[in-house]
Amino acid sequence: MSAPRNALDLPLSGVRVVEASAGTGKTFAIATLYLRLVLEQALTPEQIVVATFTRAATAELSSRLRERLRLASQLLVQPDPAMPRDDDNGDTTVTRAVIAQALSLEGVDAAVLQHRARDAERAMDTAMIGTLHGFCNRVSSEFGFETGHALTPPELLDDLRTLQNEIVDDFWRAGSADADAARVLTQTWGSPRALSRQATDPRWRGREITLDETTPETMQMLREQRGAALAWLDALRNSIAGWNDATMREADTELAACFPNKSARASRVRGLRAVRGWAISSMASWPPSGVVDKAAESFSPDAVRALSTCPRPPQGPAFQAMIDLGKTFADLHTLDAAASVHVLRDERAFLERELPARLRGLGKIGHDQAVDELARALDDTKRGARAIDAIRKRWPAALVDEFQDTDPAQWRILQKLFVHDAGTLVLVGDPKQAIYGFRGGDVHAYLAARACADGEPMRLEISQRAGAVVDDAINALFSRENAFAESAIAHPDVRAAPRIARRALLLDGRSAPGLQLWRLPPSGKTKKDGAGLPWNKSDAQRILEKACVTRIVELLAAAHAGGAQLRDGDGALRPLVAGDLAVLVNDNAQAYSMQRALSEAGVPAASCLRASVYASEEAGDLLLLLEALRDPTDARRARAAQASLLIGKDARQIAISLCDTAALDTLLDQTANWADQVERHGPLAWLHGLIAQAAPRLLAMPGGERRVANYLQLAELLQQQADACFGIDDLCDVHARALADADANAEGDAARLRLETDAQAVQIATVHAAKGLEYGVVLLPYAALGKQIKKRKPALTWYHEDNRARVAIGEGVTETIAARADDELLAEEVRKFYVGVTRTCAACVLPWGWVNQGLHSAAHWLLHTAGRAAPLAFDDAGCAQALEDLRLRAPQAIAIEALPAGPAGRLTRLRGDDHVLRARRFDGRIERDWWTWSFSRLVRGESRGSNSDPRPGAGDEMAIADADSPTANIQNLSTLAGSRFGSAVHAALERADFSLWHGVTTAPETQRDLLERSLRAQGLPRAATVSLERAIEIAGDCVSNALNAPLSCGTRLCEIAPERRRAELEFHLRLAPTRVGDLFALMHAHGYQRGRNGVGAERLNGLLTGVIDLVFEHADRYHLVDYKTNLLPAYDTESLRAAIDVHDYDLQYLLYTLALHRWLQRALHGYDYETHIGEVYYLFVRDPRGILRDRPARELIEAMDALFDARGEARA
Amino acid sequence: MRLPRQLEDDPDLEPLAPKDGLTRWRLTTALLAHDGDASDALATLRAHGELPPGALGEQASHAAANRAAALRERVLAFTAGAAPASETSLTIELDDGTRLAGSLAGRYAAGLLRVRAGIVDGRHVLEAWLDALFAISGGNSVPTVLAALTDKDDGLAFELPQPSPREARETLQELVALYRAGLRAPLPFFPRLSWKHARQGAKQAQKTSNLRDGQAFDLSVFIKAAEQSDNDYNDVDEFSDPAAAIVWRGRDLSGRGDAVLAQYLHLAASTVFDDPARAWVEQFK
Repeated sequence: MSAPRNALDLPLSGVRVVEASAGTGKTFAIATLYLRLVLEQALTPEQIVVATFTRAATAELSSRLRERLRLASQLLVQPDPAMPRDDDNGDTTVTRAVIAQALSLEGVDAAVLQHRARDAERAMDTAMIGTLHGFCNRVSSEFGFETGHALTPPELLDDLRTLQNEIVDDFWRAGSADADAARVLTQTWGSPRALSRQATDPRWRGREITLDETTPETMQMLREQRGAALAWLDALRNSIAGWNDATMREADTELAACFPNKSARASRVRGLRAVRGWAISSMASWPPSGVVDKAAESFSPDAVRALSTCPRPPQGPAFQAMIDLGKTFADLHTLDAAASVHVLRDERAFLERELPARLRGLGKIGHDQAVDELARALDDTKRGARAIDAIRKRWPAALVDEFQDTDPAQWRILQKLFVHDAGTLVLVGDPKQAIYGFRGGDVHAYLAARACADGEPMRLEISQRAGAVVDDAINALFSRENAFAESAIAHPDVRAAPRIARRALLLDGRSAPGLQLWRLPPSGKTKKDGAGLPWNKSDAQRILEKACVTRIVELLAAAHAGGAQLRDGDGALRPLVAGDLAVLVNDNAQAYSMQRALSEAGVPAASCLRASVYASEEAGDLLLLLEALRDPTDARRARAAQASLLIGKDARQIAISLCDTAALDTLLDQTANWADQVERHGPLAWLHGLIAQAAPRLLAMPGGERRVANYLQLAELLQQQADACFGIDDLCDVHARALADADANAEGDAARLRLETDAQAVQIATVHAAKGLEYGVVLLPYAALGKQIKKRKPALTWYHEDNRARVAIGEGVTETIAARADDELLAEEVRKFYVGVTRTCAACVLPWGWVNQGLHSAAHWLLHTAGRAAPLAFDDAGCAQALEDLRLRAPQAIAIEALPAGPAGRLTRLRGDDHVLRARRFDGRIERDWWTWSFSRLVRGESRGSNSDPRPGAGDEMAIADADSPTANIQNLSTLAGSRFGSAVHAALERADFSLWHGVTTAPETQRDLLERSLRAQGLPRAATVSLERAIEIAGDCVSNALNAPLSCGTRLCEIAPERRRAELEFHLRLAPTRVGDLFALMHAHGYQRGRNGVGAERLNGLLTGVIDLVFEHADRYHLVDYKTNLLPAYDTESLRAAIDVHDYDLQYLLYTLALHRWLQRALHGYDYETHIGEVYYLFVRDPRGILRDRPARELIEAMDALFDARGEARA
Repeated sequence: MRLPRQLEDDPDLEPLAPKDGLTRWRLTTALLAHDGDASDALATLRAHGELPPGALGEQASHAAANRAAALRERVLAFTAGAAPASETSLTIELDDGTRLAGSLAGRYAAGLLRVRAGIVDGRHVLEAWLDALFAISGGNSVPTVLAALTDKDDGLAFELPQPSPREARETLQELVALYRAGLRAPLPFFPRLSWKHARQGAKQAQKTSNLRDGQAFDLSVFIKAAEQSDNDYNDVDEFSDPAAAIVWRGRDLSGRGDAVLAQYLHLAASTVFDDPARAWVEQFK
């Protein structure tokens, strides 16, 4: 069977793979597939899982899908919607084709399709579009009964580092009990942080370890070997300590004979002395100092043999002792290294054990743990099978984007859930763009999935981004054998879509090459023999940056003079602007360096980095200011604040306050004034004033925009912190703490550096940040620099074997494994390079030359090695040859030039500088009657207002208490009625240990504290009303009445185990526009709400929220409980019914029952109203008799459900 | 001016590894003071909560004991086990009329001994160099030795140059002049970086012995430091020191593209450190 050609051809069943090269319209294809699922298979957005890799991508994808649905819905009201029209654009053409395909199905007409598209567009807010992690977590909580999180779903924790570090610290602490462990820990890592860095590497996840199990026997053997080596070392040391002056003299003579080379001899003479010194000193034998270790090594037979000047090895007992010493040292090093490997593995095992346990303790879960837990739950033979069944029904189809960044665990879950006879799973990705290996992404998981797919993958090969000249260059670079250093990944030739084929950079009216290669000149350094030497990395970086700046200045200056333009696909020309240019870098250090170079040349540059604003100079600067506010009378701090960049006084101005008391007074007044402003209006208002004053001065400096952006961001962060702080002192401490933790903050969104300017600026971005973006002209100045990976001890190596992800540690790292791991690292570098190059629309710039460590770069692989019988030499000539070879592959698209050298000019002024920003006009429509409804708002008949507090014991009780409290026989208790008391009793019931209340009439001793705290939290009892003792007694009676009430289902609450009940179950229900009249007619028909005909609004639309006091399960039925603290004249059934009627509680419990019904429908496998819904109990807890029960009819609840879901019309 | 204090790493935790320089220095110093048997000193440190618990503490004190032993060996080689002579006070008058008064400690038969229980940087060299110059100017023409540890925890004894009394007074006078200049205006002198720079210059001079004054000098030490503080947002080098950052705000301290500053950087470094740097390079290749 041939591969499907486009998204219309792809069969929508089974497992399908869509492989989309960069810029080939992947999102477009996903939108088409989504629309097909909706129109052809009549699926709703709630039934289709759309998953991608990042939250940012989620938002983009969601809006694209919605647009496509809207378009389809609009087209479907046209006559003959499938007929192409002349003015159709790309989206419209494809949408019509999808419509045509759907119309050809049986039993479908345009009206049906229009309904499907319109309903789907409306339901997009509840669509499952998110990250794969988010999906796993949602499955866990929605199918809680099957996945083990039924009543208490854990909270998702984004950043686990603090917890991980805590665990590593504990492991380290455990080392204090064991001398061996302590030695290995201190010698190998030195500090818990270093160990943590290795042990918490995300790549550990799911890997098999290439190392035998640590058995007590192996540990014992290691200890014994070590003991023997140490004993031998002590013996050697004793004998060396016995060397006398004569021994040394003899040794010197022998050395002179064997080492004619002066420095080789001198270093050994010193070495012998050092070893003797060590032997007679009080220093410990092991580990020796570096000098001693090195000296022993320098006498090893290998080291001596390696010296060409040495005629023969030195003879004599002293030298034999040195050889023995060297051997013993080497043995001990090996043994220590072996021990450190075991320690690292133990630590990892400890972490894997402890992390989930501690997270559980905190009621939280990490992203990866959510995936693991779900996987485990699905593996469970009984419950797992039920869950899989339910989930397959709930979501018959899934589209997974960016699938190349997945990991094996996620793939296993997708396989379980979506690979079945009736399921559809479309995996969209590009293995050439898998660049998250360092974060645990595993392209091999993608390759494995691809192998399981039904039919050939659908390959998208028509570029929607790059013009034809760029595509030719990209094909020349990547369409070669083994270009991606991984046989399963190949680059199919891409060609530009006709509408964009003419995209190009025009210089003086002529189309510039798609790929401009810069040839680095020779470094000019030579060896003694005259042979050339490569550039060292930092010099190369400097000239590359300079060349890059020179070219950018030239381009922008030319653009200003009309000489540099971008041509779009339709031939339209527009001047090149700074925002069209992007410099892609590998890390933040390169980004800072580039930004500095650009700003020195007057080029505005904006960088998109993952760094914390707290690591900036401005954050430290604000600390100066805050410190001054701590004590506004401290003149020294006030002066330091004046010296801050934000205030910007120079030394002369500040010095005046040292000798002029009037100036000093002014200074202190100003500081006091600031402190006052912060106290009154918060730090944001104060700082905004200062920033506005400083802005003209700051913006005139190089990098001024960055500074202002940082100050503004910090001001906002300070304002947020101020809300939770007790005054300036506290704020200052919080800020200082954030500064100290700047490294850890880099991941948090709030503290991440923002883009400094909306104005036209050259974009600087890391390749990872640029993924998914596109730019007119892309410069890759750092592509000529390779990076050798630093080896740490013990060695940790990540690799694959037989398609399984593995990790090798220490001695497990054989040469084969190390080579394989290096290949995998190189492959990821090549993919990163591919992502960088393919950001280009019109032109790309790539330097190449002979630079130290360049061997490890992707460019070296592609230019010198891939597809060649033998690699090209890496030297000046080889580099020139490699560039020329590349040019010849696409001479029309690639050009070579010397590295731009010229003096880096300064850019004076840019077109578009005066561009004034305006707010966009809003011309959408807002639904005016959309509200959040709660029971209390319904009965108050409000359709607007702010108080919709759904807290039990608050809203409803307030109305009740007002009505009931002045009852004659309970006046002395009036302070213990009302909403506060209600809230206190609810709080106590929420936290009470039910079992302790079994059969008691007064509060158990251990629960009195709980009652007291609950009362005090509500400010009860008020002074001079009732005593605390009495209040506790009354509250205790209420709790005891509630928990011991005999319930008609045959139990009492005190007998319900904690895992079978859930307090304070919060719900949010969507309310489709519902006519209030219909609702009441329905309730009246079933005998409810007879005294009422409406709620003051004609329509309910929006969200219904509430909190159910208690839901419990007994004998497989789910029952609802609401506690009421109303003071009633009597508690017989009639009085209770009267209270229910007066307060509309029947409406309340109908809504609660509906909420429970909906929840169980979704969460409980095989749910049925009659079987699973139990009773509603309203417990009037003031009196043991105050129990009212009901069980609303199934028909009523189902009809309400349909009504709120806008299915009412159909049923009516 | 009073600048905010840098927050230390979580002070609420017990020490898990005495990695920071100060604790290492205190451990080594304490052990050095207790010749040989240091159990009392260790017990005190443990009670102060400066040592990690249990075997980790044993490890830390073991490593400190090794360092102390390495250092003690150097000290003993100089003092031959003798106690130092009592401190003497000294007053000298320089040619420009400046009077310097002070006292000399650490006097032994072999000369003056300065001990640093850690790695040597420019600050320690400067301190010892001033002592040496002061002693010689006051008529005590004896060698001055700085005993310290290498980064590999080996002992090291650096013998400072021993100029003639006249040369010593002249050098002192130059240093005093520099000190006074620094009190009036910011002085581009960074003890650690300047010491590195001077040593690098001395090394190059050793290779090409005909390097004349005024010839172009290599600023790579400063450039590297500046690049590092650019790249590493939160580095704690001398350029990012909060006080230096305020005083030199807006200036590129590496001297790149700022010939005047470059000249000053080099001049300050060579005035202070040229002589000791030459001696250093001769003694340790």
